[in-house]
Amino acid sequence: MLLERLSNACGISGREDEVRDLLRQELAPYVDEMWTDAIGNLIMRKGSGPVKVMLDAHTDEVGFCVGSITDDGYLKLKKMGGLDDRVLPGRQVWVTQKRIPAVLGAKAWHLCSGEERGKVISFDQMYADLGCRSRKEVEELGIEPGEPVYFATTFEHFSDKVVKGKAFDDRAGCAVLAEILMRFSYPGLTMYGAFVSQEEVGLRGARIAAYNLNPDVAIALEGTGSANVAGVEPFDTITNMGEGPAISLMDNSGIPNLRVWEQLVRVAQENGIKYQNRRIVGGGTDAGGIALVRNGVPVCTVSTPCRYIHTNAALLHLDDLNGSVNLVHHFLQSVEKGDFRP
Amino acid sequence: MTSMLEQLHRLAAVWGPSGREQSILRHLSDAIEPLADEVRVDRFGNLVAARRGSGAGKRVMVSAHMDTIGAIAMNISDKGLIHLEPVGGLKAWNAIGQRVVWSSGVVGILQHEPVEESKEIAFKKLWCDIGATSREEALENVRLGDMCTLVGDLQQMGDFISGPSLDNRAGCAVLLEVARHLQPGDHDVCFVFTCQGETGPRGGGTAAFGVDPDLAFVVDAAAAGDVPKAPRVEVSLGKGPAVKLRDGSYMGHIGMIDLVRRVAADHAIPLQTEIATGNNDAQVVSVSGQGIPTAVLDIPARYRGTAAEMVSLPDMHATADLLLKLLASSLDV
Amino acid sequence: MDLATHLADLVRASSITGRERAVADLLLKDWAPLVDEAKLDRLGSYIGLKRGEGSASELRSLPYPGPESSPGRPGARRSGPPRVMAAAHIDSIGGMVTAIEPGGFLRFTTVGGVDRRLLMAQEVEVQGRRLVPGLVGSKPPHVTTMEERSKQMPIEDLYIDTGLTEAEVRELVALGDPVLPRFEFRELRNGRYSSRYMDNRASVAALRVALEELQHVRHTADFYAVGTVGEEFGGLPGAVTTTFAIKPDIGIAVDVTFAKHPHSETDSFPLGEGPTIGVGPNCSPKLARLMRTVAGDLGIKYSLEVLPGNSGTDAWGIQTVRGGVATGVLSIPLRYMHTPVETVDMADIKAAGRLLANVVARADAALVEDLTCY
Repeated sequence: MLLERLSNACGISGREDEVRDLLRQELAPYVDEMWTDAIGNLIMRKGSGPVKVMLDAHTDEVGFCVGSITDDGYLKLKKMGGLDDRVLPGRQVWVTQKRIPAVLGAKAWHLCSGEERGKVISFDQMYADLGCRSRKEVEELGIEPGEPVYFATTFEHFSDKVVKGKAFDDRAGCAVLAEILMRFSYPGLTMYGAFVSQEEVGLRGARIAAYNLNPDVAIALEGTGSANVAGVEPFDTITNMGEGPAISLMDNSGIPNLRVWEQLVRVAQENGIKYQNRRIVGGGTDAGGIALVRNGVPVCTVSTPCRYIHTNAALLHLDDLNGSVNLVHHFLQSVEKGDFRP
Repeated sequence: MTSMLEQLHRLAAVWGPSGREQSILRHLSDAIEPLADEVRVDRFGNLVAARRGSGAGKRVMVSAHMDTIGAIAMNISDKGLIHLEPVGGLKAWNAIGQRVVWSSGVVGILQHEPVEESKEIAFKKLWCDIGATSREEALENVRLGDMCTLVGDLQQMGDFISGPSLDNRAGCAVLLEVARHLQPGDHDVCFVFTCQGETGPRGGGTAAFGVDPDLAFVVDAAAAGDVPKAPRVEVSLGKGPAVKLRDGSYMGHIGMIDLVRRVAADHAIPLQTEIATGNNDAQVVSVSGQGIPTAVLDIPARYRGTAAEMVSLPDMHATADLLLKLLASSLDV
Repeated sequence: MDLATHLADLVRASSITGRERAVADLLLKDWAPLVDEAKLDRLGSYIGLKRGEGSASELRSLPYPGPESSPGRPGARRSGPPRVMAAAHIDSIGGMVTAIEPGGFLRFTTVGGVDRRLLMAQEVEVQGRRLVPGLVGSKPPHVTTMEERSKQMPIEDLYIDTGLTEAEVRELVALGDPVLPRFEFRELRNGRYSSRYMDNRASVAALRVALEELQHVRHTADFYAVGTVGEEFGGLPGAVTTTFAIKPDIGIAVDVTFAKHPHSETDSFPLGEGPTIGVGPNCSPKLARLMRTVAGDLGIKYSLEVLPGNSGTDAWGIQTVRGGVATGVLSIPLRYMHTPVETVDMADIKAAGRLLANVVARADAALVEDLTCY
């Protein structure tokens, strides 16, 4: 399953090589052209119709990089993207693209005072342990400051429909985009699949891609938070896993273009596609960067709900993923048919 | 011919929060069409009305954001109460007890859970009551993602006028007034009414990219410092427009500020100096393209973000007057 | 011109964000023999062009913006030699007068990340009609509670006392006038220098070193030495607008970083052991690799500086202009950042300038092509 391979692939902001290579390999038979640009966006073109549509998914995941190496051979890390300190101690990680195993250690519970036990371990007290005995040994492994460090999480099925893995934000979006490129053609459109870099550090790749492509309309494909879980009030769930793709209402990177948003809703209703809204204004997506490029680009975000996003392991429901594919496909069809003029 | 005051009455009554500017755009487009050579809507939704000059002068952009603050529906309870998040800087304590109107025209009341202390007031604890008794009934009139704005009539109190939406419909009215009185001249003038000035701001940069001016003036409403315990700002109502030296995200272009001061002095137009916090369209306009020298002319306003904002009509007239004098000058920066 | 003298001239000129003219004019004058053409752009940034061999580029023909049609794939590059841009910001942090109170006392606010812990009792000068010296005052200790003394005084409670009458002050000073720290440009031991504004005049001096080096090192790339305005505050207007005009293939921000001193544990680098080369999402990996290779070839010591997101330099603005630019960050270690006693090592400035010049010398069409291949 492509989502599995995408989830297991490693790519922090600025070092998305593995994800790009995987996508290039998988999608080459299905698209007309592919290229990369100065920031590492991977752009694929399919079709050459009069209306230009950009579908965006970002290839980077949250993770870490090596900040410094101690004399004793431990790694001090830096966060790449937003990570909650509370989910980090005791995790297994891979260091560099070579996946050298290491662990994020924490002082033994037994040795902590009562007061200490209640506190969150702050990130500056954390370090990665490779088992090395000296700085020299670490350097001989080819590890230097800046090298990526990933959560060592392997994809698996919890059930037929619910899967677990790392980086569903935004490998879910990449999987949706890949599937659209593989399964569908739209002769009336020039479809650009923009697998963009560096979203997690500030929506960086997307604005460059949008500037170069200057599309008539764009959809950002994301993996977003979902909290229909124990102890969370219905109003605070953001999205509900299992209830379909989520269309953004507004977030801190922007207000979706009203016409695109209304068309997505219309298309979902007319085709009986179960959908929901993303009910939180926090967080930002590539749409925020895309919307402000040049003279403006009409754009909206469609997200697959993922529980426990921005941690080492998330869950998603495959029906939600397929629902995203379905929704975007029908939207593109409506654009192609002329039902909706951007 | 509509006077500026009449125009302000009309504009302040039009619904148009950030991201939902279609109606206000139509009003402004109708109003400015007879006064412009070309009117278009750009891809972001900004309204651009161009008045051509002789070609010997500069291309000038004069902008005002046309959106207002409001709130967006995020959740609807089983009892039919709508839970919201703010659009732009609407504060919870300014929303309590207010009447609002939704895009469908349905009216609602904003209310808050009972709390012991004012610091417990939070937007999350607000709801909008439209008189629905169930979620289904509410959804017939308001869906998730719809927006509402504060409702109220404009009240005139001598030289002062008060009501919701004066930030920035007062600025829009000033632009229309300038367009009305603008004489043929050397400069190409683009009047731009931008979207999403209260969130971000966002529209100004996309507008500037399309217009590509040599320089720009942004008209907005600025917080006056002439009420008790106001943050220290040397700006008062009734003392003319304020030229903005800086705010929280923008440093004013010194050449443009000097130009504004010179022209104001030459024509004895009262001018205040503003050093503020917050942000405005000028930041995104000034960094567009290869850089656009931009000045902000602010209309002093009290009680911004409430249903009873307050501005001075003479200040608005002085702002329009200053702009007309600037547009008639050589605009050498 | 002796580099220490040039640096002294640079720090003497005042240039808080938004009022950078004095430094820009200094560069127009002092760098004129080193560049083929120079100008100040509309926002006041200095752009100096040193043409590559055989190049006919002109500043006058910098492509002007407009709603141009889509360039499509980035392979369709503009013609002409490779363009390398190095940006050193010419603005500095400072203060700004916000009010003149009865008695002639001046209230002020900060511009950029001024270290507010150092404001009390600081000697300053207000740039009004003339430079007006003053002291940052506040109510004296014996009318301050113990609790108040254990906390920093909020800037709203500070004021500047010029010793002049209110009428005299109103004659000389206006709202918005810059407030600058009084300072001394001091040569310390071992080639170290201390002054206000070493952030970022040290980098400006490094750009000069690069231009001098390029007088006798061959290069085919066009080199744009840019003194950007507005880095300390305001959303990097200088960085983004100059990049938009120049359309460089490579954009290197030259700025300062933290140098080691007592109590600086992490994220700081030794003084006098060379510049730092940035690695992270704001730094194109291939460009960083090139900078490291050139440093190695020239025997220039450097440290790797890990920048996990926003580098806090002009490079953040440069990288996403138009269709993207391959960016790099080259930094000069500096102690006591954003204080009036910022301290740098001249050897680091010279090393940074030399490294930059030789990166320019290595830039050719093949390199530029490779930078967009991932």
